[in-house]
Amino acid sequence: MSDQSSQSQSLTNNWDSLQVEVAQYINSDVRVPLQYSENTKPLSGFVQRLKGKHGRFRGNLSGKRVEFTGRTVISPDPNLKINEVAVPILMAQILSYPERVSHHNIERLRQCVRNGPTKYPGAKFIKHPDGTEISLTSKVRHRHADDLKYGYIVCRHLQDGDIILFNRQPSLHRMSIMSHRARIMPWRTLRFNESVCNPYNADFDGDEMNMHVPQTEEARTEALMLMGVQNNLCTPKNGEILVASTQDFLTSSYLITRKDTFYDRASFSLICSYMGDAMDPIDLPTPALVKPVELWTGKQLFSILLRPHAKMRVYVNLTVAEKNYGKSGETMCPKDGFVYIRNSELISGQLGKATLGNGSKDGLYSVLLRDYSAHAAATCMNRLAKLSARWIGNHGFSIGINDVQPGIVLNKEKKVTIDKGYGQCIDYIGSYKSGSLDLLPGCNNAETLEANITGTLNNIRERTANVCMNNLHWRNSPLIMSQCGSKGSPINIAQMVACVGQQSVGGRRAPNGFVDRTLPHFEREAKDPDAKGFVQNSFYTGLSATEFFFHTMGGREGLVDTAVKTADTGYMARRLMKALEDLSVHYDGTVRNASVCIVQFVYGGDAMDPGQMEEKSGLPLNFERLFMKAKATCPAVEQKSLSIEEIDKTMDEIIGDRLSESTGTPEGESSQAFSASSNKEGGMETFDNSLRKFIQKKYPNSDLMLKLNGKEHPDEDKGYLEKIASNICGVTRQQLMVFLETCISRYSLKKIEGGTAIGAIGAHSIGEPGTQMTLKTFHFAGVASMNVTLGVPRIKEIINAAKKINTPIITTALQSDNNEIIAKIVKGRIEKTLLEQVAKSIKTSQASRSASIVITLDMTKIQGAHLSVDAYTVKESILKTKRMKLKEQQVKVLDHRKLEIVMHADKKKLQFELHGLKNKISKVVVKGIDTVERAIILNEAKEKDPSANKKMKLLVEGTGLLSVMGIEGVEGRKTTSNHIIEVQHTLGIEAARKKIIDEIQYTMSSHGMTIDIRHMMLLADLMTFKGEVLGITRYGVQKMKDSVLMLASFERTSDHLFNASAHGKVDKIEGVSECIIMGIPVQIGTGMLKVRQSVKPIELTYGPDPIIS
Amino acid sequence: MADEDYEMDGGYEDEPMEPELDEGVEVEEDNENPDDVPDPIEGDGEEKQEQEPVERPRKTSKYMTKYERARILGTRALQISMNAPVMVELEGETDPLEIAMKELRERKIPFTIRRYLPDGSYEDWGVDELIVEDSWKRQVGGN
Amino acid sequence: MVETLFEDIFRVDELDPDGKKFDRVSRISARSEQFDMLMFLDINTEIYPMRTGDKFMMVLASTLNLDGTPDSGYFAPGNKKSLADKFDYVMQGKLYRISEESREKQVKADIFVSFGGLLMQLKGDPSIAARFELDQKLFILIRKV
Repeated sequence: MSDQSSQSQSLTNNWDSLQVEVAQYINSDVRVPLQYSENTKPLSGFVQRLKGKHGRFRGNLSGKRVEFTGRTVISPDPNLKINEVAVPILMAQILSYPERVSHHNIERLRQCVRNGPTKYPGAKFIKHPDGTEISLTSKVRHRHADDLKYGYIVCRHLQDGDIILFNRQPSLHRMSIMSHRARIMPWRTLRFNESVCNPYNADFDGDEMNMHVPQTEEARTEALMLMGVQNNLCTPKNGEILVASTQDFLTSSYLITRKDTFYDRASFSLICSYMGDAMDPIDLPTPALVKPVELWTGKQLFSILLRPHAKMRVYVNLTVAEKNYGKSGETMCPKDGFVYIRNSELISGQLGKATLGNGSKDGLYSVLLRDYSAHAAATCMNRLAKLSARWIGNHGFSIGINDVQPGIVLNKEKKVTIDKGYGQCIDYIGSYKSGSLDLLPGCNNAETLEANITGTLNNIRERTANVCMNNLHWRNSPLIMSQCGSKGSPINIAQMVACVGQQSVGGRRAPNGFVDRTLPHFEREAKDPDAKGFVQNSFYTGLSATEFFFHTMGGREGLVDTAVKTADTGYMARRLMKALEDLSVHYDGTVRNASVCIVQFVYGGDAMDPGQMEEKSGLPLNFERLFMKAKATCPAVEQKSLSIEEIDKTMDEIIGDRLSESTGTPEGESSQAFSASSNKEGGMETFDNSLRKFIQKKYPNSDLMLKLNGKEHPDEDKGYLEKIASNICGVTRQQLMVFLETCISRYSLKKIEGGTAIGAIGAHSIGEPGTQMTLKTFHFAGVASMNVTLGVPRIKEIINAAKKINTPIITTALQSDNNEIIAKIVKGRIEKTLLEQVAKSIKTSQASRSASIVITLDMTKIQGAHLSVDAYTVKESILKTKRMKLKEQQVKVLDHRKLEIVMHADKKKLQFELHGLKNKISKVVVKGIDTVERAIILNEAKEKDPSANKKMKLLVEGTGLLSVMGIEGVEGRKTTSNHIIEVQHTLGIEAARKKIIDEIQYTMSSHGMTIDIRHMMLLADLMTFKGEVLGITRYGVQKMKDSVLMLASFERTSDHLFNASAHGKVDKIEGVSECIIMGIPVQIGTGMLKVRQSVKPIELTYGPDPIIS
Repeated sequence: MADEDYEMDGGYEDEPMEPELDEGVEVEEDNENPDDVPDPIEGDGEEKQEQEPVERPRKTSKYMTKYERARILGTRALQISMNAPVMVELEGETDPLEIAMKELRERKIPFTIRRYLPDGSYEDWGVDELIVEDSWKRQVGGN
Repeated sequence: MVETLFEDIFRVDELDPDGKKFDRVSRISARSEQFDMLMFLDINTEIYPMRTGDKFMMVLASTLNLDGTPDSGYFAPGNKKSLADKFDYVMQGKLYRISEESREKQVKADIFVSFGGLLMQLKGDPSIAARFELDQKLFILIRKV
């Protein structure tokens, strides 16, 4: 018996341990009862092989190791073109390209074969059509060279002009991997033009980059056409130019175009020759100064750079206000800060980052790119790179200690400002201690003090910075760099020269690391600037010990921030990408996901390509600039300018004609229904209207013209007046026609193309800026004390569709927004008011058998706060509060400001319960909404003039949008919350969509980033197109996609696979992830269409051939 | 570079939620399967009669997209590199891609583009029928 | 004699009205005697110094050729006789803008010329502006009197 039981015991034991073994074989992470887990050998189950970043799915299937790659350190070379990259010979001898022998290249390839694998330009292998592969290491290669036949494939070394892909991690957007042409060079680094640093976000402090060599003709072509640097000059994020001059190029352009740079003929010609490789013809212009000496100006040099010779038909027209523009006078700006280029001639302005740098839409390269071609912009960049690098090499530019030495004036001024500021701070602290500080709205005493002191201290830094900037000599290198935008900001200079300023940790002054003080060097509770991290020294004078410590505190925060941020944003970008990867524009203009569900009917509402938008706010065209160009390029000469009626007529003619024909669909009328959705409603109509409106603004409105029309004039007088008027603001027929023509034709080319992977672009456009956001979480929403979550955390909240967000705020519009008293009343209605806040006293009185609480309301306080509260309403609120468990007869109203609550209970318990009740009763909400923390009145019109129209608004901290909207005096139709899920519940899915767009845009713009609204629309549409707000999280993505493989490659690999196998799911392999995993071309972009060889139908003639032809 | 990816797969705690969730998905999946829309773009086997040939007027854009251009040039360059007869007069070009570009410029590429619409139908467009935006012309050769 | 577009004698009112910004270039504001024109002009003071109170004759012409043939726009060195011979300081530039400004029913016209970045603004009666054309090549010739 016992034997049997022990046997069965061991059987179950063995069975269990078998179970454990099997379970661990599948998944070694399974939790195992302790007795079986004695073996600690690290085994890895099937699940472990599959999941995680280095698992099969993400490590081997979604991304694979590839051949024909190289990686090494990068370095700059301004003599290369922007689309070139210098590949070291050593690399070129290892990387190869299989070139098929044809009669064009047979001789060249023969030579390669003869050279063999070790001599450049050689070859590594020969492949015969039958598949045999011959290595060329042996001496017999000469025979192979002679035997070379058409159709053989020679794996030859990389050569000049070969197309390669160039990449730098982290690859956050599509410009992180672009195709260049190889330039085989000696030495060991990969080199490229500094202008291309921006898209890769590369510098040369030891960065390494990768290159890949596409191995087929098709791959090369697609790489060149779609990924070429020239085709990616501007970012699809917002259409700003990304590949542009940087750093030294800006500095030297700035110095060259200074108003007092003059060159004699010899040096001018020399510099002209810097621009190219001495191969291009250059027309030497007439010198600006003819007498007493012939002198050319730097600006003339730039005019040559734009248009070297008369045969070049490039007419750039632009106006840009540079950093140092004095805000008035346009071209006559005394500091020469207004750049005006007219017909490729630099009229005025010292060029800097706004004109030549990245991140602008009216800059030189943008204009060249839009008005001419990518090639024009690229060649101009090449010329500028060569010119600048060579010029600055001769001119010399460096920074020394004397650049950061403050002058006497500055030292004096600095002392005065600091003393004054410190005095002010001490005053504040004094009044804080005595309690006489004027409170800021919504702040308590300590907060007000902090706000005041911070304001004062920041002011000190700014003041000294201003003094410092104004007193520096113009030759000061840091000043030059900061003014032209190549490196450094005025703050950096001021910190070196004048004063480092307040150090902050987490947006506040240095926190207390010791008991009640920051460092033991200070007294307890010290609030003065020095004790809280204000650094009054400059980096030049040197920091004191405590200052240095505070500075390191601030510095450390920055470091921690970047470390934390990368992980956070990386994961966010990955999720975005996974959710959006398969969205693409189809040929019918709709945006659909891989299973052809419609996400948007028309991309972005107008089917425009965000990468091509020319106007800052994301409109397709910058009419103002185009109009200027039309006027400048078509001189009026002898033509008459049009009258208003004539303009209208011409406009109607042209717009009528061209708009109908350029809708982009071939068979005009028949495709009405189709084009109606995409053209008429979305884009075309609004475009038409905006064009008309613009022209109306441009009607001739000269005063002279008016004068001319108003009075009688003798004939000759009239003639000249007319002439001037037309010179000032007339429009000729030709100008108008050219303008309208360019607008319309260009508009139709800006349509988003069928096949664009707009989802991936959108994910990049939102993910990439995320990495650049400094993790400054908080920001004032108009009122000092009202903080809103911003930056990465906020974006995360929005994208996750978080149910609970950090700082929910309801922006409440008021029915009458110009009356402060009404605003206060409404505020009182909304804000949660506890009984204890309005009660003068809550007293307990105890008799032998019963006890009571007497509440006396503070009527003056109530009236002061405009609350409609009295004893009766208090009674109601008490009864409504659920936890009270009081009966109606227990609460007695004594008079309108007094009420009594009677309690009956055991004597023993009475005392205890009485106090419990008293505590509870003081927390009863007598007025307002439970979920609301507080409300703040915001006067939007405050800044401009205090007297004029007030515009009041309430900012309500907390949730409960529905109840806020229901409150009397609130304009419910204009009231929204920043809580997306709540908006969805109260206002519906469309409102939620709008809110997602608005909130992302607000967050991005408060970090100074512009992202085309269409990307955010797409994201919002994806999050809402299923009828509920889905977050870009594993749950949301699961509901959006049905592909198992895609989900498995995203997160929870094993769960999805188990599930799919148990339920026998089918994956149709249509999405991007699935196709990549299976190694099938993706149905996006070039994979969306098919190409067929068109064979001419053979014309068969029946019947007898004619006898006589 | 600290781009150790945020490892979300490892050790998630929210296991309990799983079963119901997946059940829901599963049911949906089953409902969907019967009226399985045939994959529009896969376009199996060339000879198999695909959805519906063009009868109605074509309605997609008359401009060639950059993807079409890249695809055509790529395919054509491959053909040329394999010694296909060239349709244009050559002026010393040897790079297959350059030749293909020249052919496209002169609209001599003997291809038809089959554009698939989301419902599985398609439109055929001859390369010579499509308007090619001309700014691409000068971008060859990197000069 | 070549026909000039404008001729007058100016007197320098002020040097660098907005403060000196450049080492070698100063902006002068000058007023004319005959037509009551107001002029702002950037001048290379290193090679042609100007002081407040200086009087000078200023001529605007579209060509330096004495026979009046239009200027080619290209640099053609050579010791030809030209209009410049009689002047001390000559600059070549382009008229880039004509605008107007009305104050109390009085309309004034401005013409703006850029001499390779050295700017000139000439404000005065509209009838004078009528002689000029946009994008016209202009020479400014100056001689102190």
